[in-house]
Amino acid sequence: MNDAFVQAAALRVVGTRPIRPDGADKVTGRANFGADLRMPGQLTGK
Amino acid sequence: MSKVRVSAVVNGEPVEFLGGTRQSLLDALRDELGLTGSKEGCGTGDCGACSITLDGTLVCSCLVLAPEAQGRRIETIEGMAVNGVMHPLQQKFLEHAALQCGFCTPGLLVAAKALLERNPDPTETEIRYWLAGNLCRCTGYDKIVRAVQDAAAELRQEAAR
Repeated sequence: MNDAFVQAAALRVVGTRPIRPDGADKVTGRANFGADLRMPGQLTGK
Repeated sequence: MSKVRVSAVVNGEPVEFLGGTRQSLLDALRDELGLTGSKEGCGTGDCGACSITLDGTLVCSCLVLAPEAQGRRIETIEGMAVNGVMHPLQQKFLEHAALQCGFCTPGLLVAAKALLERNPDPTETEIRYWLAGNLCRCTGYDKIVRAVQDAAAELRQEAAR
């Protein structure tokens, strides 16, 4: 890939620092991991 | 397991629940109160994923018994954003990409907040020592340290205004 091509492609994603889409849920404690789910009638091993 | 009635204040809200005499406060928060933001990584106080503050003191909630919460003031990750506005630490964790899987993140944020309340201008070494009880297997910690430094700077600016 030559420089001209890279310039022509006008990079819109590479080189940027997007905020991860699941980030807000993860920093607020809302994100559900496996152990956070409760299903109706769920059995729990003790 | 016998149960004890426990009244406490969680994130500013008075709550009552039935806590088992051998139940951890972490399990009570998660199972009785539905606050699943605090995580159980190890259950033995090694990983810090269950970090909360009890009357302002940072503790591993897996090492506290539920009945010990009687009359105490508890802060968890769920209380960190106020009216939908994120705490600067939460914002900086996002901007610095200081999380990947996110499992350690609630504990790290609660611990970092407790640090900045005691020391608004910690050195990198002080941050690393304070957060030594919070294990993260994704980030390699550097981004977390930078996020905490940046949040501390922002909070100092806010305080100076």
